[in-house]
Amino acid sequence: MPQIKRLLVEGPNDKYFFEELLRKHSLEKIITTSPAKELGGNFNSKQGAINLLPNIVNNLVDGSIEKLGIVIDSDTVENGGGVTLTLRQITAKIEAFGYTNEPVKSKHGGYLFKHNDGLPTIGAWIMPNNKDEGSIESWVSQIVSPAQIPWHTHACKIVTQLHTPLFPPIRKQKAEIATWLAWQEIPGKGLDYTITGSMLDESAQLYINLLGWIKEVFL
Amino acid sequence: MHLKSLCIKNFRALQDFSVEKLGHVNLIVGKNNSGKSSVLEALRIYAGAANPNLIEEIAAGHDERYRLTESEWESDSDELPFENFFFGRRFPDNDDTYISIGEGEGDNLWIKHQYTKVIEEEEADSNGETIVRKRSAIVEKEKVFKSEEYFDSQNLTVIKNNQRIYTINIDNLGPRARRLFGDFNDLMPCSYIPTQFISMDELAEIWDDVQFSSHGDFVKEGLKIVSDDFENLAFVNNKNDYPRQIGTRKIGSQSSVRTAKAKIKGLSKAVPLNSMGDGLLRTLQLLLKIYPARGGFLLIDEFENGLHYSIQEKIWGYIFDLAKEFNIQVFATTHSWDCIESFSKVAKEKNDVDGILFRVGKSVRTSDNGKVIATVFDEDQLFNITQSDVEVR
Repeated sequence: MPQIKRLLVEGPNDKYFFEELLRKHSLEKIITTSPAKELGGNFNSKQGAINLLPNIVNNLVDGSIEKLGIVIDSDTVENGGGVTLTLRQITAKIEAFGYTNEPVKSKHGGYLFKHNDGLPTIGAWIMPNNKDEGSIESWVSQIVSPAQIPWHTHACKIVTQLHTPLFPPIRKQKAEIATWLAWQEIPGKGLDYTITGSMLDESAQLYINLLGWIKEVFL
Repeated sequence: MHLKSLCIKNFRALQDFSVEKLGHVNLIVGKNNSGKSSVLEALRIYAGAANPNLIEEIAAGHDERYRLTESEWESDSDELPFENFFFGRRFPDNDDTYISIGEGEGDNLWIKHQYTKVIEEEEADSNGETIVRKRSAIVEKEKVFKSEEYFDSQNLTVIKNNQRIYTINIDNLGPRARRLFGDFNDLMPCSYIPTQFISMDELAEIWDDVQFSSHGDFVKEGLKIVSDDFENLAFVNNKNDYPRQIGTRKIGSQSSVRTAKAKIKGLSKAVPLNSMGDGLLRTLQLLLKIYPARGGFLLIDEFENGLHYSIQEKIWGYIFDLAKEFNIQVFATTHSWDCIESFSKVAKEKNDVDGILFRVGKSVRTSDNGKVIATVFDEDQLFNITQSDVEVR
């Protein structure tokens, strides 16, 4: 039985997105993408994924899984997120297993938690770019393909012009992406459609970096 | 007595193996050759206080040496009896390393390999005359290896609760000289169900002994639970006189002298138990072995053997109930995901009986140097995990 290389994500939409991204680069058979709940976690969320880390790292100790990476949103500092705090939360969950080193920045962006006693390096990518506040939708917004820019820009404009939006300000970017996706050839698909519908600029640095980080962690 | 935790040292591949928390019913998973079966074996040895018959049986079961012939002894044989029991398949080269099985603290069973020599001591008898007494003394291993000190015998000394129970000479020829010290009657009930099927004739023999006892009633009740139609059981002479073997392959239980027949509801004649669908024979085997395990251990190697998926949940349920009723601590190994699922479902349902799963595997930590370790999953973790896709096995 081949050993499992696990990419932990926040929820099913992120899972479908990463599965398509990995498929595009022929990595989908090597890396298994899972949200927390699929692995016995209680919630599909950023916190659900972080809380599940000890259980998964336990499986690294006897080699039942071979590699582990986590992709979660930075969110906002105001709401208890931000890159620094997110990294600190991850450290708190894995240091008992000997991951006591400060995370180091990968050359592709993304963070690496190295182990001193033989366990594999754990990767963490904090959306969108391991620096700014935001989410996976922020990452997508920054690398819209040139052909799609007019639609995306217009969607953002419409969302901004809403008189009384029902979503809280923190979800504005999600609303923009959802609106943009609603206007595609097949309307109303999930985030994974940005990959299958070739809506992203694959030559954008941010795209190249995420892919580079994935390869660094898992291959 | 139940073990709350388990610590095994220097036994087979288990150099320093511990499970911090055991349940009432324990399922052991792991890849082939991970050491699962060694855990069961260690528990057998613990329960049987390493009595010579048991360890000879275990060694023989692995085609390992448990006696030396004269020529082997003279040729300075490269494998000594019971050597394979020890980590690294050789006797330790110091006196501080020995097999230890138990909870880790207190009540452990130790098996020590020792060198001895006969020494003569002069002492005065009651008349004041000098007499020479011979006694066996331990020769420190360090002296044997460093200063090549002479020894004339080797033995295994079994110690439980700091009390010496057996000395088993390993280089004696012929009938084994065993010394039993004091009155040791602290053997735990323990039933072991091996991977391979127990033969019909063996089952028949057990049934002969128990059929009119409460054990017999217990077995019949159990078979009724698994098969609604079941009414009664008998072992009869196997009258089939056509060849019992095709080439080198034995066919069914027709190689046995006797065979199990069942009386089932609505039928006036008995039918072969083997023809009554999956699992009834394995169930019979389990039931015959569960009863003698009362108050002790039930050890099942490869639980799923001969049990179709559809029946496993029922059998687990029954085993959980019996474990409680008869105060039996159960340890079973498995390879099968179905078995893990049915176990976890039952463990979750039976709130009053603790189910624990532990995985046996090699540590990846550099400092552990390939040490075999246990990863424990309790009922809740396991239930969540079996609801999803996971790497428990």
